[in-house]
Amino acid sequence: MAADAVSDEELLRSFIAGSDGSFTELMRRHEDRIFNLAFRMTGDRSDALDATQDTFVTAFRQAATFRFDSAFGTWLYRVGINACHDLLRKRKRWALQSEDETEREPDRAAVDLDESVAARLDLTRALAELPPEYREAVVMHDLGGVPYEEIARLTDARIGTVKSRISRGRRRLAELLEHTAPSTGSKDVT
Amino acid sequence: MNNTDHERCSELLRDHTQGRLDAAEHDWVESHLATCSDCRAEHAAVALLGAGEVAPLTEIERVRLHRGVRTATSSIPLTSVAPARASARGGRLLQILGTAALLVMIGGFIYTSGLVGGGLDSDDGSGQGGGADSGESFEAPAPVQEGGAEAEGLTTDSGAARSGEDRALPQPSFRRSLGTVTGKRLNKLGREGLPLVVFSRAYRVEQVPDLQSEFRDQLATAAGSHEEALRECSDLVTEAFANALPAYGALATLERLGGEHVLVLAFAWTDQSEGPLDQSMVWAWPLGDCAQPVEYFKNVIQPKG
Repeated sequence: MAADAVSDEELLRSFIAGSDGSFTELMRRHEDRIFNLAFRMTGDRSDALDATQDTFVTAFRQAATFRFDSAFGTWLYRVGINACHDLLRKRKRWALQSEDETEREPDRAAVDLDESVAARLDLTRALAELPPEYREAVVMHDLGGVPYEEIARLTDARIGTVKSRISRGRRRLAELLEHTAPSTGSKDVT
Repeated sequence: MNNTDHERCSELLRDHTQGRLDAAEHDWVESHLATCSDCRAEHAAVALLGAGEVAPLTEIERVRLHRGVRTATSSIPLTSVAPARASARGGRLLQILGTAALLVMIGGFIYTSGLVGGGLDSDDGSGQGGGADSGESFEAPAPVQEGGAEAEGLTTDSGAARSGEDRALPQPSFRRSLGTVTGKRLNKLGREGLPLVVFSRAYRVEQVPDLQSEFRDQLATAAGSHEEALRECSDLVTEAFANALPAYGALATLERLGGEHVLVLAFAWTDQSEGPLDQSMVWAWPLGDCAQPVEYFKNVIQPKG
């Protein structure tokens, strides 16, 4: 039977029962998606790789706690978001210090930052500014494509609450990004 | 405009930015956005969140990721995952014994036919180095002119120390000096090189856990002063590809890099959970730098008819 014909949940059961190869297969299936999430949240490939690794290590540790009442991929995505949050928290002190230094002595590399990279960094900072429950819902839905119902189940919230968090989180994100935009003055956000 | 419109628009925004709406929904969202600054703000955030392609993991990043996870989880007690895991490892030996007789027959034929040995084809036109140990029948390669493995007594058939039936199974082989090679030749080694063809016929994935370290150690011992480097590079691969069985190693110079010395390792493997090792990987690293492979090929092993 081809490996892909086996569901994630069957692989997880197999792993819990003793098959290390099953976990490797789960990693193979999800590592690109988790890395994509981590890169969008951290804005840095090295950090994204670290967060991806942390995600799978946590999944390894907590495999037996999976309740099989949601998709494994969704559960793993939430583990990934938490791993990114943890990593960003660790980086925060360094980032603030780095910004202080930049103010004192402008760094040519920073000035020459590609616009898209700068936008990504702004987005990362803005995401970090969101209230955790907003950030989690926005990331899961808008980055991960997790449906409202699934997010509600994973976060033990009502679906209306999830929709509200996503909507408010997006607007707050837009406000934060407007403040970090290089141009000044009011502008229409489109 | 009312809350229902806001909610509907909010729900459609992600699909809107990804072009997944039908014409009617698309037009409705556009008309709503034109009149609603809140939803325009949401739209801007969604568009930015989905903007830009993220380059996929490179093979090197993938290997590092797998290695990191394996290292980090190796210290986690199996019982902390689930008690049942600890007892599940014992069945592998039985699986191997179940196929042993057939493998002995196949391996015996291969071994006594003198097919085990080096195994680089040399049709890349370079005319340099390459070739295989004498006694190899693969594409009648040119013999190594100097520094060849046999001349140095370093051709490794670690099975020489074995006895009885085990001797019939192919062992990994190591070439001390392979001369200058090209990527094309390394690719061909993985596709139809004799060591890999032999391994694919002789071994099944069920045997890999019991043989992987042993074969790595055989190659490492044969690598002499590069023993540690070979061990490290091999571990890097097998930690990422648990089903990879070291089959062949060599020291060579790489034409593409102006003759830089490299360590070549070839593995038979499969992405299936059972069955023969029907695929190959060939890696080349600068000596002493396993973190930066300079060549990497995956192939389905396809012996020439």
